[in-house]
Amino acid sequence: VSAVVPDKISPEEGWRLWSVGAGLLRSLHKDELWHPQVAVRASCREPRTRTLADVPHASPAAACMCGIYAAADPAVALGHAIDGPVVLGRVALWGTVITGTDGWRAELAYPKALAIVTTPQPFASKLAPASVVRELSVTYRIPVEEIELPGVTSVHGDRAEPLSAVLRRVWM
Amino acid sequence: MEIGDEAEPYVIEPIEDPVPQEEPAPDEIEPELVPA
Repeated sequence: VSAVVPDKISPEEGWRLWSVGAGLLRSLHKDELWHPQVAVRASCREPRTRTLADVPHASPAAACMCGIYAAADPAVALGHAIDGPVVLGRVALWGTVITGTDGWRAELAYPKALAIVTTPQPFASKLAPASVVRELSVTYRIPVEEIELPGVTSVHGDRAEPLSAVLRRVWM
Repeated sequence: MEIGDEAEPYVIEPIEDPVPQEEPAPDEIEPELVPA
């Protein structure tokens, strides 16, 4: 039984990107697979702060930059693609959570739904094929959502721009 | 990825497990739950 009184009883839901490896979702910036039916737990391997350098700490820590990241806006998540093909999806976040203006850092996470993004070339080639997304949804026992790119607008800070503009800027 | 300016950490303990559980095999379902 946890000694901590929770502040909330329903997970946050954010957006993030994965690559695909060995038929599983893989974190983009870490060589880490997300295994089916197992919550991913954050750990800090490379402290990026002076105050917590070389100090073991629970993740996410306010004084560090560690944790499982998710964006509040799907366009912001897509804008962080460093290479393709990628899978966009919603993710449930719980445990210790830190909210930022653009998203969250969390202790625990599991995919909530995967997205098939309808988008014209050249962006389509950066996204995993719909067949791969559907196979992953079966593996993780989560639904697939279809998103039409032109209808999505990114709001990043005080700036709003169409997702297509975000992707053109980041991916081209 | 960055998440912008941050607020204080808080704790979420979901009532329902966000991780989908294995569905029971047909022979594990209690007979009274199976429709006639």
